[in-house]
Amino acid sequence: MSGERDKVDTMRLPWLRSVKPLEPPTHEDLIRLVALGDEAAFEELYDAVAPRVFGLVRRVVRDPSQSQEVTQEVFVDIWQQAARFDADRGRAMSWILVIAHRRAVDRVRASQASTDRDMRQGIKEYQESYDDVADTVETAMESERVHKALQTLTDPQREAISLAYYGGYTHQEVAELLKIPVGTVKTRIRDGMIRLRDRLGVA
Amino acid sequence: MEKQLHLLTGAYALNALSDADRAEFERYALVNADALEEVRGLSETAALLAYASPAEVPPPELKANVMAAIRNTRQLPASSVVRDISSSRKAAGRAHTSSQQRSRWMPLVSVAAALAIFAGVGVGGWVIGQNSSQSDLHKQLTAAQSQQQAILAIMASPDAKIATTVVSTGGTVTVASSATANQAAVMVKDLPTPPPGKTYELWFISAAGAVPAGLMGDHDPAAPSMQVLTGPMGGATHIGMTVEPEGGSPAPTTTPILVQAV
Repeated sequence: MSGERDKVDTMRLPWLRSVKPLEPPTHEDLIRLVALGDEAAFEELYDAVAPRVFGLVRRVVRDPSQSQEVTQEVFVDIWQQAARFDADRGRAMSWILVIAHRRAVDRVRASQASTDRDMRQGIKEYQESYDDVADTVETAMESERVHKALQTLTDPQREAISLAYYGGYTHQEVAELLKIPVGTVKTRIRDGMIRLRDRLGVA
Repeated sequence: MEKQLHLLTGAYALNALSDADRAEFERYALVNADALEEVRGLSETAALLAYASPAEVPPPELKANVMAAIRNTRQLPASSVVRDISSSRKAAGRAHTSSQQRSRWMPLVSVAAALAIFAGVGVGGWVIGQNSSQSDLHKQLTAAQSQQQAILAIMASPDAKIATTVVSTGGTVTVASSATANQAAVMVKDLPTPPPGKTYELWFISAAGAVPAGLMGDHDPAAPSMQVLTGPMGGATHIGMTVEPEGGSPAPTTTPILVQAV
């Protein structure tokens, strides 16, 4: 009986079956809603991007409780500045990750002033943390793409970029760590970044 | 100045500059469209490096803290007054603007860029929060807006004139003026900080004498900065700049470091 009724309903309302579910909102859509003060959209955005943000912050800041503080700062920034996000200038996720990286680096530099990070430790940390990148290669296509692009760099380029980006070191500190001239670091970083940009097809 | 600043685009994108270097680089990049374009691409690339780091779900209490925090945080308005030079340049490229047209607009674009710094907008595309309160920001934006409107009025006039002079104290002063708009503005770069207790004063000069046209605000010598002259240009034939005691003088008391015909 119920099967027959289903059949009738389907016949009467055939269009119901062909309606596709709505596309889920993109990060860009969510940020536009956040800019209007939409807390539900903000929560959805948080759920979507928090693991990526926290992962990056942990990588740079390391200390778990400080990483949480920094991650909170990042999301408050996103909330405050959502109206300034301009989709013409880049993707929402990039915008978020730029904010996250800047905040993480600021924190590392601030604590560096009080504890004076051991420079030699820096190299060791970089080597260790670089190893565990390999574990995550398969987890996402984007990770794999970035990892592959990193492999196209020369070892010195990759080393300089990793120390700067993941280690939060300034280019002068990178020069000290590697005992090479500052000018060499500048060109290694720039040449490497240009190669990455072209590999990753960033417009 | 021979610091090869153009090589710092990569380090800038990676946040690998000290505060002083970053400020210096931003001043350089703001007036250098190629550098700005390169920074934009490399910043986007740098953001992708985050994907080579494992994602990690934060503890649930963090979400509760964040949601509580935003309920007590006011949102900033969009800074629509100022546009990043890099995106305007892209738009110009798409429209195949002739190079002649572009060069005519370059000074204006640079001024917009200078304003961008004023309003706390970083280069390379994205704004990173300054800790200024909303009312400070609002004041800055309002000031930036009125300056920009004055500049637009000057530059959009059919009789807009621009002249750049290297002044005796070092540095360059560019005077933009228009009789139609009845206004003038100066843009300075590398102008040394005035001696303690002194200030730069601007003048509208005509056969009748010099009329005070406002004081140059505090500025970072190496950064390009600009000032719209106070009051109408009237029948002024020249724009002048002198060093005066703090607070300014009703009439010039020293030999002008700049006298520019308008």
